[in-house]
Amino acid sequence: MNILELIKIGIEGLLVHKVRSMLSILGIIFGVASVAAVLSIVGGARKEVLRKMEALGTNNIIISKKDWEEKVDRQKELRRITSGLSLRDAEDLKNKIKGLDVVAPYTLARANILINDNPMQVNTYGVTGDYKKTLNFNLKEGRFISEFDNFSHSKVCVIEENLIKKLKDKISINEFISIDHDYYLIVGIIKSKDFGDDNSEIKDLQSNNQKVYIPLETSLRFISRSFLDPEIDGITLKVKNVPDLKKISLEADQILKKNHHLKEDSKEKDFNILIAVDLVKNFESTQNIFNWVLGCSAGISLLVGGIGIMNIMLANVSERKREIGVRLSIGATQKDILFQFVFESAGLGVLGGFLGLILGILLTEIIKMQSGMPTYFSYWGAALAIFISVFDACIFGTYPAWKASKLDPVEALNDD
Amino acid sequence: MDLKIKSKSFMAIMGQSGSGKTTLLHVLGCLHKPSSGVYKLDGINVSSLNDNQLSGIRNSKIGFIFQKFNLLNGYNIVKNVELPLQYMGIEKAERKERAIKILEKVGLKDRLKHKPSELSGGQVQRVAIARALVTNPAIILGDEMTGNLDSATSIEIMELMVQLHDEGSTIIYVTHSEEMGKYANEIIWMSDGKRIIDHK
Repeated sequence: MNILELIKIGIEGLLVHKVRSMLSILGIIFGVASVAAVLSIVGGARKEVLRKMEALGTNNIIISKKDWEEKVDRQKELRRITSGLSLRDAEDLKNKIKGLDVVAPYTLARANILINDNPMQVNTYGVTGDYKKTLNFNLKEGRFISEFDNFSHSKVCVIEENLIKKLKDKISINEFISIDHDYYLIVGIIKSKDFGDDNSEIKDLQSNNQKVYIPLETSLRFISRSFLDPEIDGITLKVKNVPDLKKISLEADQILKKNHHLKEDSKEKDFNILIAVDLVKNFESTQNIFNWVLGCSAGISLLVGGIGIMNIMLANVSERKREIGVRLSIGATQKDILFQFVFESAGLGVLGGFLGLILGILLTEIIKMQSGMPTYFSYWGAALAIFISVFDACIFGTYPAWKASKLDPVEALNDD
Repeated sequence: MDLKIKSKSFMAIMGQSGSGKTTLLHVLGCLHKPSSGVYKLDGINVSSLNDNQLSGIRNSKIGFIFQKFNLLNGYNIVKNVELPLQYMGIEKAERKERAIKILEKVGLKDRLKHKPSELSGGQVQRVAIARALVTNPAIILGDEMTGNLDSATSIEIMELMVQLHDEGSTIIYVTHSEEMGKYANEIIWMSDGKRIIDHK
């Protein structure tokens, strides 16, 4: 008998015993669902890292002031000896480190803005003209902050396209918005890019695509309101050659420690240095853990689901001995019986795989909603989950199928 | 045992329980190989065939009718009758056509969509007879085929067998009932695995 006919007989066998078939695939359903959910969490984490890498810029070093929220006492202690990142630090880095393309200091403040009478709070960055070179963005309209804007403390701003989208309002360049009760002229609109969720150490750098850029000097004067060697929030360094990233970040670390009167080997610092490579390394170590979790979860699922299928198929063979006897007596070969039951198992695997996948997608959505964890469900993951399920069902269904094919027709016919 | 069965015979094998009549039927039907000796069917030495070859012989040359009917309850009667043709590799459309034709012949034209559990005992046995006939086998073997039926239905079934024989089928059946044995043209009596008396 040809394979297609055997597949048909296998499927008919499943349809005749619907309830039993459904019960037998519960293990597979939960197994595949858990594999699919873990795969999408790992996928989400990977995508998140890649997006952040893109946001950071692969040849950027981000120096940001330390967030001391949980160690206020320690901050006070450090504050006695250092006043944090400053423009002087930026100047020092520029002068002392070779291999730098751009040194872009910036300030960051939450500011109340008003666009067409719509109030909202956004991150306002005070930046120099060079800042544009450190980020991968394109202008939709107008221009970016210029050196002249900085020099002249101009009240101009560049806004993200998303900000306008969020307001669902029309606004374009050469119109005014209010930032902390001062009017700023919009000189440019940045085409929005998806940099991912705002939940990590770079949250204050590339956060939610709803940023407003103003000249650094304007920010220091009108928003930070500090004039003498004022504290800034960060410095972005763009290196000429990516292989120099680590070396330059170490040099920058030493220069800043010296400027901030910290010991060379001090681990307590008032600044953080972050490079994209570090993000990848962190992710790789996390992913190793996830890979183990995934491997174990997939393994247990395979075993539990497989044993479930084998159990039901053995019961099936035992209860359907007479049917097997009838089939053998009317001309089925041992091979026909073997394939009939293997295809029944495979059918269970396909069904379990699909239902498990649907459950996995639901599970992923619940995890995403509850924890805010980024998730990403790939077709590759879906195909893998189905493949695992079918493979598992075939492997564990083979023994019962083999047992069925070896039945003596007369004994099978006499089974009660 | 030395036994020659001619084509178009209508033979009953009779004897008491344990006399070996069902074992003989199983050997004739290629469900068992003879423990010794030679069995030739249509000139083929069946004793030397492997399991797969025996399946092929059962499929193409033999039609079984069992006491317990042995139909698949999950399938309707057309699908049940189609089964041997499916193992023969015949296309679906032809299978269905042949199955329906044979079911009409055994008087089940109006029951085609029914499952075995929805039919009476006599009707179910007619389905089993249709399944045995659908491949045009060289021999039809019946194992106590009226054993689970009442007398009136048993007579109906035996009359159908007579009709099939008259149309050219070779029929060999096992029965312990003398009433049923009377329908055959030849009867062999068995005891302790041996053929003791033949009637014509």
